[in-house]
Amino acid sequence: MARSSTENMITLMSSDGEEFMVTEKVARECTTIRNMLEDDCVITNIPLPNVTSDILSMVIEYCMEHVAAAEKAAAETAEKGSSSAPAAAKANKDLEEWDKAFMNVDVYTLCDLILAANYLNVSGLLDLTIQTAANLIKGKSPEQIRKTFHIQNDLSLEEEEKIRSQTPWAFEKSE
Amino acid sequence: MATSSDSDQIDLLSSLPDALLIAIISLLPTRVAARTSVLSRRFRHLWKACHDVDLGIDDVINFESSRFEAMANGALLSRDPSNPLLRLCLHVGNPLSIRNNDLPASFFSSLLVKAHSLGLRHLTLCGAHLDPGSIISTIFSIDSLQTLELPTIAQVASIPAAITLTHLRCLSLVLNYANPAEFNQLLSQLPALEDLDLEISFTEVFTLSSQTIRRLHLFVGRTFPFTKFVAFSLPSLEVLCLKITTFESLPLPRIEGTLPLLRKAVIILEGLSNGAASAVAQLLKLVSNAEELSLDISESWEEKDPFPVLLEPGKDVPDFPNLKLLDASMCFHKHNLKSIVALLHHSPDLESLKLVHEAPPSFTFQTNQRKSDDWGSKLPTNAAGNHNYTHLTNLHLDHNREEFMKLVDKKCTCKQHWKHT
Repeated sequence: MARSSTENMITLMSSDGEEFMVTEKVARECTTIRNMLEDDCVITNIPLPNVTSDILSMVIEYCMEHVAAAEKAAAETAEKGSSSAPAAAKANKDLEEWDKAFMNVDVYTLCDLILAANYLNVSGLLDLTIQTAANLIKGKSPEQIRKTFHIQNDLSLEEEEKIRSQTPWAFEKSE
Repeated sequence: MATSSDSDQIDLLSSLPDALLIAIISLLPTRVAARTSVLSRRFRHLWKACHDVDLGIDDVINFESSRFEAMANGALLSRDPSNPLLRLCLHVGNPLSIRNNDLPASFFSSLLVKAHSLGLRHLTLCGAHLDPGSIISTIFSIDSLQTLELPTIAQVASIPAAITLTHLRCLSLVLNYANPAEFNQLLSQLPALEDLDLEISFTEVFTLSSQTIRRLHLFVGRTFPFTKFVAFSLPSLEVLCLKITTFESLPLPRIEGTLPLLRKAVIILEGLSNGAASAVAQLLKLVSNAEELSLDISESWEEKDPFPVLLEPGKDVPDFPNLKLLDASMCFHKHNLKSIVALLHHSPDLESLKLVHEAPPSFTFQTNQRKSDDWGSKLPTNAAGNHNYTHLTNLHLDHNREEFMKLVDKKCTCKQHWKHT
């Protein structure tokens, strides 16, 4: 980005010691970091002991994409007076497509992203990841859900039967 | 990804904190959410802690009321009283299954009473026609409600006289055979109401009166008896979205009122026939205070020749003293282009203008009757060489405005009807 040299840069450090230089604007997408910056505006180096470098780089990728999309829409509005409805709709659709492609990850990465989005308080990413997790549960039998997320069933057969009998309406087949 | 198959069955999902797992399960319909109870010990009770209950019917064909009843019992009636319920989605009455008729209104009432005791804030009722009576009075007694979405209600007569929905901010409903006096009486008892999303049908004369409503979405259905007259008394209204669909030469309803605080208006009119212009002009007068105006207007497929839809030729054009943004999507045949030019002359503060040409719908067998040239775009060709689309900004700068007027006036051959300022 052309203007990045004049913008404040923030260094984020992952749990495994890797450093990521990002613009303040991108860092502010994380409410947790925004609050830190507002409490202490000279801070430039933020250690994030709960986030690994793999996951942090993905969170930054998400924030950068969303900041860039917002900037592009704002620039269009400034240039043309208002961003035209079809163009705005297309930009929204492009961003949705990007989000969808971004969520093409295995369940481990997904769970890590949920934790990171929650810890860093990136509301858009948290909504996106928990919706993705919910979609993975929908339309599956309990056995299939366990398989998808590698959940160990620690209930005995009797216990499972008992639970099923308490809410039979949840398990009846709907052809 | 590389990690997926080698990570040896680590269950990361179960390691998420309760709050996050509950957030995930809350996104599921209750029937699916309850299914997570057998995944493992960790999941056993989580679904019961969701703040949302969605008693949706996921398969209408095999729907059975006994199953619904069991689900409602398990998910709502037996819910721990200390566990608040924020959102409830309830299907009442199923148009495709007569079997649902087994469930008496008193059963739905008992669900609502329970939800009330749990501090319900957002209620959505969906499904078929709601039998007014005990269920309506129960809904309107849930004083914790902030948003309420209702399906078709035949009459509001049964709404109790002294309702106490002091927190209700958003109301969405369909009114058939509406009695305006009763409905306005209801509105006067909703002191916090700001958003109203309303569909009216089978109602000849409708008036809407509220001191508090700031945003109104109104859809006027074209069902017999047709709506002929609508009057607004909405001193706080800021945003109006109005959609009227008409057909077979039905006249548009006449819409009157004063909206002093109106900022934004979106007007969607479909299926207009020749003669509609006077009603449309009246409508434009109603929204003439707005800063933003969006028009989406189309003629009936039955109309062979183009005619003016926006303004009556020779009649006075309303003034738009505050209008900054005009966005119009319609067929820019010669009459409509003239009308837009007239509007422009009466919009001294206009900054942005967007015009999109869209020919009205037609059936294929008709194409021979309509002369495509008549219905083609008469908009000036824009910088990109396209004459179906015009987007001009900074019109408040005289230079830009003159430039545009020159273009439009050149294309528009008979402009003598309009009074130029």
